[in-house]
Amino acid sequence: MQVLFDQAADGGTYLGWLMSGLFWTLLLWFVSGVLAFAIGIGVGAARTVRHLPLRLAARLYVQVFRNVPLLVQMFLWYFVLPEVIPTTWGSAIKQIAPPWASFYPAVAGLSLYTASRIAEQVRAGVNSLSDGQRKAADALGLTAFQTYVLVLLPQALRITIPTLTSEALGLLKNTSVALTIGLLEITARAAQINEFTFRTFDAFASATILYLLIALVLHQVAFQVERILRIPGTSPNNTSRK
Amino acid sequence: MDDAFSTQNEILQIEGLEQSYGAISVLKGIDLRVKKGERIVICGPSGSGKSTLIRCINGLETFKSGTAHVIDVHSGERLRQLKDIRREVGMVFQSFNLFPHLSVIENCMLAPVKVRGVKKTEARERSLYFLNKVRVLDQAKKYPGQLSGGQQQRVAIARALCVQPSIMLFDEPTSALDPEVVQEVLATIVGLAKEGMTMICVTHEMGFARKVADRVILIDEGKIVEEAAPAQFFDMPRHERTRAFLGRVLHGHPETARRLAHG
Amino acid sequence: MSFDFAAVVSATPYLLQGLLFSVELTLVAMIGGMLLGTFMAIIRHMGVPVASEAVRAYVTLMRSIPLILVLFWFFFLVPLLLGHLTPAGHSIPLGPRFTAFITFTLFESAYYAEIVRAGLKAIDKGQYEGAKALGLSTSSMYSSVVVPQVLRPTAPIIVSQTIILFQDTALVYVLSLTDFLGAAAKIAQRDSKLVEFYSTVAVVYLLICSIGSELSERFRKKQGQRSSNGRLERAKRMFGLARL
Repeated sequence: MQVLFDQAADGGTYLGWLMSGLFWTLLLWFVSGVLAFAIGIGVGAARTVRHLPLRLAARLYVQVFRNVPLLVQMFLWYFVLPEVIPTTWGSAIKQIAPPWASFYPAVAGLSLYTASRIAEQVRAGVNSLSDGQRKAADALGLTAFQTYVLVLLPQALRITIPTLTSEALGLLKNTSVALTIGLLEITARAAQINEFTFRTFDAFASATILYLLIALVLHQVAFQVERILRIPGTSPNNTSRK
Repeated sequence: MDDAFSTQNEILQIEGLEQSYGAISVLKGIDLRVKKGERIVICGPSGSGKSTLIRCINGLETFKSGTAHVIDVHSGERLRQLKDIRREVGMVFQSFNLFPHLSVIENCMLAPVKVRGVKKTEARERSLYFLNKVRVLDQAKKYPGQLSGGQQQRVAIARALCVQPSIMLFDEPTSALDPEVVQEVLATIVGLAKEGMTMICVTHEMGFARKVADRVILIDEGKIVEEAAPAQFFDMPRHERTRAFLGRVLHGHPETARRLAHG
Repeated sequence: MSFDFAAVVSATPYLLQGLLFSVELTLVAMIGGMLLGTFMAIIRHMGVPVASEAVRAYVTLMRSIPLILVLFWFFFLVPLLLGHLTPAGHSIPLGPRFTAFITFTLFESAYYAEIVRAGLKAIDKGQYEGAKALGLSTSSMYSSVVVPQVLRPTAPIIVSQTIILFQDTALVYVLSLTDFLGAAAKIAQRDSKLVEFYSTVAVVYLLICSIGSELSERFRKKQGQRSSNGRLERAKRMFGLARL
């Protein structure tokens, strides 16, 4: 692993390269994660409402964004979007300097793809709640929006925390796809280090260790979050005692 | 007290059997000897360890200390290998445990073919024979999910018999059944007993015990409290706990009391 | 803005070749992955000393790092490793195609292993006991009783994992392999028709994957109806019998 501390072509160390990759991975992960979460909850809830057009629109969204590979979606945002929008906007986009030129399309692709998966988890969570929840909310006079925000979603989200954790892990892994559109995240940097030093094992082992460490932290955080949010009287599997 | 004659014909020898789960002791030293052809009924309050005892016999549970030997009827030798023991000891479970993805006859044929190496045609004939014996022959092609509880349990009995064991263990065979079908299953077991099958039956059915058993054993808190022939067990129990147990069992079941009184 | 359909149409044979490779890769990885994954799931379920810990470490590792990284690992390292094993001592150039087959199989097996393991745990303990009491050997027990019962309920999840696998095969792009996307990318870059080709790729994937999911849904619903348990349950409900 000593190679990490050698001089690199740009004057810094290879370790520096790797840290830079780590920065971009984490940034991409957080930003996409927040967006995916927000959009996913909205779309997932929309799939369970009584208003048919909204439900169908949400279904269409999920169908489209789940069934096209992430890599293809990123290519569409990066290569195709600037060409199909009005030329002035298109040129403006092409002016953006890297790495942001790669970053924004990566965020778009990742967040919309992940949102479609989160939407399905949220939908399953809301559907698993007994019908009585909605009826009780109706009887109390809550509007549909209030019902979702105050009654249904708080419960559904707790149910889906374990699957949301695995979605977050999946999102972390998917950040690596952004290397195909030029973002120098961890895996891209590891490949670069390999090209320059031929120390294949060291380069990719470092990347592997970084991902494992981040995943470890994620699991710990998820565990704490689940513990804090747990409703008294329910077990970790969120089934209330009958 | 064990001379050559009295140990002849013994098919099961249990000595000082102890079993515990962590710190909780479930069986505290059980001694039991069963001769070929004997019918033993084991009863007792829940949690007394009676199910654990018979599961120790065929190795579904590995007990902590003591011995439990199954004797091969032909050679008189103690069976050492688990697979040999399971070949000679058949078991019927409270929840039937039929294989849902196989038809009734396939359930019966599986073990003879895979364990005893019997040819398929012979296994099929044997299965049909035993299915007929327990009177579910007409259900042979159906799947367990299509049968009633009583039918499923009778299939389970046939399945165990197809391996041609020398001793049958019944773990509360009728406890999970609706009252209407309990009798048909008990009648099947009585039929087996009449043909001389050695059996140990854990059950709450006292009328059945009285009719069939050579010995009735009460197990409470991991120990054998009383062991006697049915007449003595039910009419003149020696121990206070036996009387208490019988009092509880019969109190909730006036029909059982009547049945016991009239044999 | 013009869309040059003709360019796409004329490139169809080449695109189809790429699609064929994508499908091949998916099938090999699914079959190999299921076999290896089931084997690993059984080892973990049985709790075989040492082996089950090794399986656990392997599965955790494969599920924690990106597929692209795994592809790089195998692409660069497997030839080196094989080189050490052979007498010649050179690194054997495994074609990128073969590397892809091995990598995807090994990678997917970790995911299939978890699916099957969950299925094994979900099977009633009594099934294991019934088989043991009959004297079935461990291998007979798993092959005749347990695994057949696992496959039916886990089939939908296995199918959706396979659809994800099909999408993941696009990542062989990083190894410059000519799968469906790779083929499209090559022509798109050569002829500067990025919009046409990438849109086409997206639409084709969309069609294949949504049809695949839809068929799987329908099949699952039909299975639920045809199972004999289902019939008995429905009959009970219909005639208002609590118990038969």
